[in-house]
Amino acid sequence: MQIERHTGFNGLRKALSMNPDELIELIRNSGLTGRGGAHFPTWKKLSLARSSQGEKIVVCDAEESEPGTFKDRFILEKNPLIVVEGIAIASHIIEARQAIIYLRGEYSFLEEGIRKAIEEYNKLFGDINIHLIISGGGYICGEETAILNSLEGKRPNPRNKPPFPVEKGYMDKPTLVNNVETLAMLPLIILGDYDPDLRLFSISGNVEKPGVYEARLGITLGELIARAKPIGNPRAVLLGASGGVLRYDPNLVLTMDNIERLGGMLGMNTLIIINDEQDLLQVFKHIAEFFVHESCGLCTPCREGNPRIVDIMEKIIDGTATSRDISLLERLAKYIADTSMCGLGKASTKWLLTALKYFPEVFSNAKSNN
Amino acid sequence: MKFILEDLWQIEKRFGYLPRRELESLAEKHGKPLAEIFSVASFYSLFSVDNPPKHFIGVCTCPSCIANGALEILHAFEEELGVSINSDEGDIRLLKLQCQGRCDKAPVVVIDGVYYEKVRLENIEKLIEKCR
Repeated sequence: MQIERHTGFNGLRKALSMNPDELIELIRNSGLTGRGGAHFPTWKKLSLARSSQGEKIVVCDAEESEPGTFKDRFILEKNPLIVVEGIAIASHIIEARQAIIYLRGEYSFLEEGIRKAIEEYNKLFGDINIHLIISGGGYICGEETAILNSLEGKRPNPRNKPPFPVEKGYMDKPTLVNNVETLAMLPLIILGDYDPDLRLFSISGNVEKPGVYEARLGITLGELIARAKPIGNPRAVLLGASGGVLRYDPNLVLTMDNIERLGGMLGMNTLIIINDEQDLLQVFKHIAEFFVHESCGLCTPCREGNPRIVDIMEKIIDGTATSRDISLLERLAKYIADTSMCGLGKASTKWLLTALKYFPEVFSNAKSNN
Repeated sequence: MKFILEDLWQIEKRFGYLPRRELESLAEKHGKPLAEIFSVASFYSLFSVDNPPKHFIGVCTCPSCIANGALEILHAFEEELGVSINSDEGDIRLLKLQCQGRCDKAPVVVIDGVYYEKVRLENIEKLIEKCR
């Protein structure tokens, strides 16, 4: 896997000998976009942060909490050095002297490995002060502005954008927030060792060999899942909790555009395989519960709407739902997506919209009267 | 750079929860009202602002864990322990957990902060013994 390569800080050495504008151009040509799911062009974020004035900060977002996603954990386990190297390169580009790794609390077992990597960096370079902060746990803490509030000691609610973090971030200073995987790609790009089509897929669910798989975008779902050895007959593929749910189709070509056309989102390359022996209604109800638990509570539609979705899912399970409930489900799903402020709220009903479209039979338990 | 999160972790690790008197001194240290500190501390799922029960048992109920039998495991805990989910009675609190990022080792159970992966129904009794 390209992510496991031992770059030995050679990417950083080369970067330090280059002009930041040249580096930004190199990253632009690589086509790298944010691997945290939003896919914002990395060069653009770097360039905006570079042109902002004042003391700057780099934040490495390691609050990976999307259900079914564990590729950042994998990277930090296998190669924390490349992440630290990426942070140092980004800091060099935007001229930051302070960097923060914001690690999800559930991953605190990675703390030792990351601290060792920081020590290694400090021994050889040390011009940037890299802090490691362990989060207190919460899906929303992975949102780039919620991280900033969390680091400032505030409740980690997301902020309105603009201003964007690259202009006004941590303590109002220009802040570059990038995902673990995005930063880990920087040394590879600089060393000319980066393959733009390779992605890390987190595969789990009803497969014999769950894990992180490296594959090229454009691979078919069937070909990729064959490597993880499916158990039974795959029925559904969940693209995390926020990426939607599709019918399992072995011929489905995995590209972002393709998945988006179907109403899903391949943001973090998460694939949870659910076979035909599972109770999909229970799976769905628990995704709804996930969003109830993880809503920060700031926007009313997300805070109040998601619990209503759980209520209706429970009624469907009990057999007491009516067709009116089902149409309310659809309206709630659209309304929450349209009126929530942050990405979590907006994506919190993608599973429901796609489930209603591709698995109508799951919801057909509702009585036709109202 | 100073981070309130680091202070909160220190208190949580020392006491096993965040006692009110500690949050009061933290509020004083950072020059913030207690309500603000409390609102921050109570937000995070890994901190407890109440005096916790003797034992926590959490079962992850995200899709990968459910596909690998998490709900059966959760119900087995309910039956064996005679407690209901999220109940505050007795020494043991049984909880549904959200994704723990170990979906490749599903299903995941967390007991008093210790992770148990690829848990099978037949392991339940042994796990319960850890709480006795």
